[in-house]
Amino acid sequence: MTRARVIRIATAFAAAGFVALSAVLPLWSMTMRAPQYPKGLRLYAYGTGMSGDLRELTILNHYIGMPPIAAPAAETAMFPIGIALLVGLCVIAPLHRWLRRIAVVAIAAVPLGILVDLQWRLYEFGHTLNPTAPIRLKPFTPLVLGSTKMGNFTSTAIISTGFACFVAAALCLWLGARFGKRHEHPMRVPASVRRAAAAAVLGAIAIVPAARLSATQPSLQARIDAARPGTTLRIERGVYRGPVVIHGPLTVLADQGAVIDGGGSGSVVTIQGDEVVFRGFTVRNSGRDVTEEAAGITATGNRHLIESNRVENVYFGIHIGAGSDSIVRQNTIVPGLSRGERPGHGINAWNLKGARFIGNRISEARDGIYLSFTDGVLVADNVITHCRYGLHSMYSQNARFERNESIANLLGAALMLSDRLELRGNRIQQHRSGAAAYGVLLKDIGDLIAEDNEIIGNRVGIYAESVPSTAAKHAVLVRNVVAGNEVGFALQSNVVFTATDNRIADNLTDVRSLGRQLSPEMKWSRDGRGNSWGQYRGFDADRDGVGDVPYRLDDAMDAMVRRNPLMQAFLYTPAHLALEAAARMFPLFRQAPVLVDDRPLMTSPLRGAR
Amino acid sequence: MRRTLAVLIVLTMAAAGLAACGVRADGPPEIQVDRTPCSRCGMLVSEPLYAAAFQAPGSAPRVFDDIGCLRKAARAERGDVRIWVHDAADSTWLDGANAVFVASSAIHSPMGGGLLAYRDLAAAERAAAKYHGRVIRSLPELLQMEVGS
Repeated sequence: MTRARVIRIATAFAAAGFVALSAVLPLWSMTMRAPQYPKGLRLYAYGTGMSGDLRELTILNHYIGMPPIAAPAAETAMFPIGIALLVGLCVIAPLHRWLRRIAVVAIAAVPLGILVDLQWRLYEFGHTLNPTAPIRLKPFTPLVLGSTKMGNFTSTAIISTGFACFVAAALCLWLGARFGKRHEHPMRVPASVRRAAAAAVLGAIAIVPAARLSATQPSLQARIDAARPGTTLRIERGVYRGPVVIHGPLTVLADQGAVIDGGGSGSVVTIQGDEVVFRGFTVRNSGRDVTEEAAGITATGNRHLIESNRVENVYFGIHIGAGSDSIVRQNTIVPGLSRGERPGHGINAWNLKGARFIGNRISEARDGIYLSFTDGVLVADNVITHCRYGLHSMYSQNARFERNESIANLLGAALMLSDRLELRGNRIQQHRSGAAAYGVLLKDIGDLIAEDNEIIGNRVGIYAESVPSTAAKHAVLVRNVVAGNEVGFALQSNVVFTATDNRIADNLTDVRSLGRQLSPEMKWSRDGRGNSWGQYRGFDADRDGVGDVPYRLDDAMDAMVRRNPLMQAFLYTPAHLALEAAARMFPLFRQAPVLVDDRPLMTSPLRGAR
Repeated sequence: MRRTLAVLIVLTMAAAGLAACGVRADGPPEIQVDRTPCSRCGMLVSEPLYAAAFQAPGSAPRVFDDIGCLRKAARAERGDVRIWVHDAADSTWLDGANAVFVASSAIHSPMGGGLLAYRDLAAAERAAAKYHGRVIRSLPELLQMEVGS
């Protein structure tokens, strides 16, 4: 063996070490300073995720309508594979100069690619601001390197130690090759030493992962069982085999990259007793049997905090019940289809009092958040997409749904057989496929307050049946935007509610009666204020903001469709429009109106009025 | 000529397909998961295990997402109805006349009906023990009993 080769092998292993080191060190960091944060808020990007003052940043970002900071899933999933490939490349680099060159290029390309990707993500962050946020900023692009001003914040971004490791790895390989050339004369290494070295390397490769497995896997349940009540347990990164049972009070925190894998049977993590904090894990692979009701995390008892976990490939994401006052916050829940088996609900709550579900992101579940037999549950700031029903309440009382986004599910929010519900500031959009493509479904509902919701771009904005009104219970819809739907409201004749200050516009049909006519008890104005109708063509001589002639919603076409369902074929065709024009101009054609709003508003009562 | 023939064949097949959709001889109706709504409560049928159907003489079959919904609807029917449920053991269709049922509030079915159906009595008894519920031995018994939910 030549000395050159020894140098090349040594530098190759050093390079591999540096690459491996970069996997656990931060690659990039950003510091945000503002007068109210003299010490600044920090954000670190690792190959496998984000850390730093995420909570504060997410809360701050919320005000300007930025999505919560989350490590991009695709990249973080690819990163470990990339690192493994790079380490492999480093190790085989000494075999041929072309391998070495490829290794150097690859090691240089990865960090540059990461920077480009980060810049793209930052651009996306600055350009997907929620327009309903309390503070509205122009879209902006934080720079991936250097300073950017956003409001009174200044962000400073620099590369970090992990990045330096990549540079060091590339340098090692390159220098190894360069210095190796000067030592091309042979160096004698005894055969026995060579054999011993080879055996040692092979042995290390075989033993290290095995030792890791045996050291960590069986111990998780044992460590949890051994922990004294009320103490905190920190779990290092690694894959742990479930099921795991945690009996509270106990705090179990995961380091970045700690995974609990249920192996496809039963619930993966079961939380019992009171006051368990369970934070930061990836939980995956529960059983899929329907009646077994397996979940990523099953929790009973009181005052738990289940936070910042990722739950994937499970039946129910989080199955929580038989208790009170727990908090489920900032989890990412993707039950997903698996082996052709269907997912259960993202968060399945039953027999629960006073819990809070806040800031979770849920997709690919049956219902995003399903409440049954609950009382006083708060569901706020969750983002639910691509589920069956986004929000679903059955046999539940006093639930509050606030500022959730339910987008592109089969149905946005199904509120059924429930009472005293509040629906505030939610965005319910793009429910357009399937037999029941409704933004909101109301059925057998008692008291309901729906305020400030945006119900936009659905096949049917609000579908309602059996919403009775009694002296004690009455549904009220105020300041909602119901726009851009094929049908804004589709109401059976047993539906009674009061709707005022809503913006109802740009739907192909604003209100459709599904029975013979709407209930005569329906109220489209209250205290001298009605709704803002896109179709209203009145005037306001006394300038009180309320139209001087009532708004009559006529739908000659709807009347004909009711008489003869085959007429549906002509909906939204020129024939339909001609009929409506005729009905407007020649009152002979006029049917009884679908509804009359005596106090139509002249302008939209809402911010961002169209 | 050949093209015309091809178009004709395609049209004939399409027509046959349409006809097949409309008529289904003497069997349970087809359920498209997450697409077919329950004919009583309007919820989409998402879990075939709990889904059921019946056909009253001279009318189209009706699909339900929960045996509880079927029970309520079937009780309102006059005359003989054919009923189908799913065997909870293997999630396949089962003629209601051959089914035994398990009732328990611990069975969290979509509309809270709390009912499962089994072909096999022993399986039903095991399920009843597991859910602390009771076995209902026949369809008439199921339709007649008074249940809270």
